[in-house]
Amino acid sequence: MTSWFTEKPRDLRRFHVLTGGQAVAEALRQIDPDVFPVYPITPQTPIIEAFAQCVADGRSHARILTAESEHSAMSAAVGAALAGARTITATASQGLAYMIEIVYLAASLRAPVVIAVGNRALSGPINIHGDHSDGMLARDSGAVQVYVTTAQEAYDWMVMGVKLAEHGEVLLPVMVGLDGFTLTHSAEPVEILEDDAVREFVGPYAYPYPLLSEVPGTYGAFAMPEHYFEIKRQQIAALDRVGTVLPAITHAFAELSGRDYAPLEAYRMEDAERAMVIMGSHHGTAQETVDMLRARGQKVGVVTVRLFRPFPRHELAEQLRSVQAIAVFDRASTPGSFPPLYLETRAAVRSPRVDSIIYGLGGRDLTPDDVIQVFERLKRPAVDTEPIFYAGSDETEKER
Amino acid sequence: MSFPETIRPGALIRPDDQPNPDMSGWRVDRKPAVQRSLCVDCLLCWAFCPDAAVVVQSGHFAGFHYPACKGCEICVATCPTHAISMVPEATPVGPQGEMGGERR
Repeated sequence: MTSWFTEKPRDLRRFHVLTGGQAVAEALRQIDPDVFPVYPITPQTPIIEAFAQCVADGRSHARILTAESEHSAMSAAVGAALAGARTITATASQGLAYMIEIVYLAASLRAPVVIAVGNRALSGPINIHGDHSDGMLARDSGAVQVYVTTAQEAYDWMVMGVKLAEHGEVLLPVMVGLDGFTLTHSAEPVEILEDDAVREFVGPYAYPYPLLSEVPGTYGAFAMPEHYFEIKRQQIAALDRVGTVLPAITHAFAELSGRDYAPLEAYRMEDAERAMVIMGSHHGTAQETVDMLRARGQKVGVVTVRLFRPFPRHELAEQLRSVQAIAVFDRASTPGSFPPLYLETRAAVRSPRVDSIIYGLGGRDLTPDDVIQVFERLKRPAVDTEPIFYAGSDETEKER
Repeated sequence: MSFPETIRPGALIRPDDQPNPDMSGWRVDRKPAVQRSLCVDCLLCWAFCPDAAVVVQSGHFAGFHYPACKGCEICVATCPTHAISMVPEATPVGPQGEMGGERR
């Protein structure tokens, strides 16, 4: 259990054994959005099921809009958010792929829609299990992207995500990614805040230019070359401002919950000579393996990236400043080049040795042995190693 | 108000953000004018004008907004009572686009 649990006495009555999907639905119930346009897809379905039950029981006033596709669900979400309704949706994998055209539009129209994503491998071959390839498809959409490591974090970031998306300096979609099945379907103790506390934290919906107001406006007008560039730059600047406004939100949330979040989490990095960078639910595996290797006297550490967009490059560079060898674990591939998190890390740090590791595609597990093998490779000279190592694949067996 | 300094988030555009451009240069020496006694206020010209150059006040035809008129003559073709016709650009017309001296 992470340190916040033991640091101060907790009221155990606030703990519920919930899957990540149920935890997101519980956050939805408390946020009580106006509109929830959605189309079901594995492994996001538990979110819809649990939240639909809340609405059916009269515990949320949300209008669940059952669209005929994710493209329509996201279109409805953009329209609702701009009209003046707090809007949340959820999807995964092929659903996000189908939604992606409108995710770009949500970012450009500055529609503050929160999207829960049960990260799942993209077809093909068709596969329902966890990896980050769907999230990476939306990497350049202009949406804020968070990849959480536990069901608790999924709950927390849904609450913070609403606040962040609707911040006047941001007004962008926020994608909260939780690994398919590993998080969406696995139950763990989740501390649920008081309903009133969450409602007070998120406040009333604050989109400043609602369509349903007295002032008419043109939304989504055509932009010629002399305007498109500036509009795009304005949108890019808004995403960059997340780095400035997020600390106030995480700080306010920490006062409420005792859980203080940063764009990334450094674990045993103080004097680390070798380090790994990872995102998502295998953060736990990484920390446990680091503990095992530390017990053997090896100076290793791990940095978990939570905020992928905007990428916290300065924070990452600071953490990895004096690390000699780094292994970056990507749960997605970029055929023909290096995977996304690796490229981000490479652009951020000046360390002499940065290895690219691809793991966990299509729900393949990453074991402590796999992590140890990667740390061992970091001891060997770089010239001996292939540019990308596929941890946990048949290649792993070859090297053992 | 200059664009793009004033781009609202999402490039939202409000009325009067920008002056309406003067399109009268598109006309080739002919502008629409109305014979007011023939007008029955059916407003088909207003409905069909592609440039919103027909002015309507309180449900009645109230002339042309000449800077917006490109001289396409759709109003002339649409008018069921042949009240609208094209006249030379220099022809004086009244405040409601009516032909000289004519009163209703």
